[in-house]
Amino acid sequence: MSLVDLTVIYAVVGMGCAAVVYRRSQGSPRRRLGSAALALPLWPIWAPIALLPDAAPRTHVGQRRAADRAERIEAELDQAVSAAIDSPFEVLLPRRAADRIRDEVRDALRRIGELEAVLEEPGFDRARAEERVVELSAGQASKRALKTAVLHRDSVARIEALRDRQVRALEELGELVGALRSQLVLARYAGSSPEGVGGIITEMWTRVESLSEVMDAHEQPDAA
Amino acid sequence: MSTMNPVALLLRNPREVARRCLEEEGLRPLALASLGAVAFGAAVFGGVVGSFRGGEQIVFAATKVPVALLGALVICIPAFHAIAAALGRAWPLRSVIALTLAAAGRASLVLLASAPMLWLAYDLGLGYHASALAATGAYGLAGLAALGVLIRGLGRSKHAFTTAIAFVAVFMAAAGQTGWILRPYLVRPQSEEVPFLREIEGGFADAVYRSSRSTAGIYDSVQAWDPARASSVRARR
Repeated sequence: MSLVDLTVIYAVVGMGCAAVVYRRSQGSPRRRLGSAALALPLWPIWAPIALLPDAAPRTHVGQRRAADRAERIEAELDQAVSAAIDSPFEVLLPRRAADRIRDEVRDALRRIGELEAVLEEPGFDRARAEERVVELSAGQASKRALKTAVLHRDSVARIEALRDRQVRALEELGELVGALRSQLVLARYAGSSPEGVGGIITEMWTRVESLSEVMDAHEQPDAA
Repeated sequence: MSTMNPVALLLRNPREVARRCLEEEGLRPLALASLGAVAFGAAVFGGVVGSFRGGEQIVFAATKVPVALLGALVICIPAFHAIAAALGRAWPLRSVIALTLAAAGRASLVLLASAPMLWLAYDLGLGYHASALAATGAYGLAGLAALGVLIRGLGRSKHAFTTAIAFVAVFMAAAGQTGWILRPYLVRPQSEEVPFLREIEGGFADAVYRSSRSTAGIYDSVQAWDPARASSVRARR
């Protein structure tokens, strides 16, 4: 098979690919035409890019776990509010209060996602930052360079600690909402001491407040 | 996530480029920017190489250098996909394409950056062989820039070095052959006629073999003495 034969076969496949790219691409006709024109000579490398969508954004493991927990909290909160309606406990957990808790949980989830994303950025790898400090300590680096590297490592450690705190607070809030839900359901059907429910609700509000806290700038990180 | 435009990312943040390729994030704009960089950067570099002879060779070389590079990529990418999978990186084809295009785009931007220096050197009277060496040096620099993206994509895990070596070997073979088919690029100023393509005589590997033997003083074919041809060569010199 000569070079000319190969070129003809390549061009024929390219024309087919260009037609498919034009039909399946989205956007204005001009954009689709441009994409098809690119597919004609470069179909082996352009067609897969033009025809297949980007992968769905990957959720980090910690963020996924937090999202699952938040979903459970919201479901249990709904059940707790339903159990409290028309009972003496309705005043302790009105729908308005549940809505606020829900908002705080969503805010916390968003913050966890943002922190996870920051920690995935190049340069925010704690192990690498630690290695860098060790390298500079062992080498002939200046004190200033070492100090900067230590500062960077500590900052990364604190971002991690902040993320972990948010995840823990969400987890603890989830346990309390679960306990509140079961207390309210029990109280509705079998009677329960209002003091017990009141205690859980007080503790729950403390956790809700802690969710919106930012890490104290002077606090030492847990794992630094 | 970095909001830098894709061309700036190619130059300044190869790690982020590699991450986007492997996580299939915003591949279309990245691939478009890379293709644009290859088309423009390689064309300008080719044009400068062609300017050694001048005239139509500027257009010829400006057309052929990007075509040779893109042709090599078209051949290499399926092989890269298979090599990566065989060595423990079952990446999607799109990721391999984007990573390779990004590497080529970065290399082309380096070629673009080195074009003015090469042009200046030609203008100052650089000889034919030195010009060929200078262009080869620019290709070498561009290759290192491309390798920067590939190595970051491969990471530090097992077989990363073997995979990188295999990628380079496959690319060198494919790019060598596509480049060989599309020669000449650098033509002596005295040449009266410049063909767009030379007749196919053997392959790239064959040429490398013959050249290495010639370097050692072993000539496989010796042309018969032609007094007319010899005097024309002397006259050109």
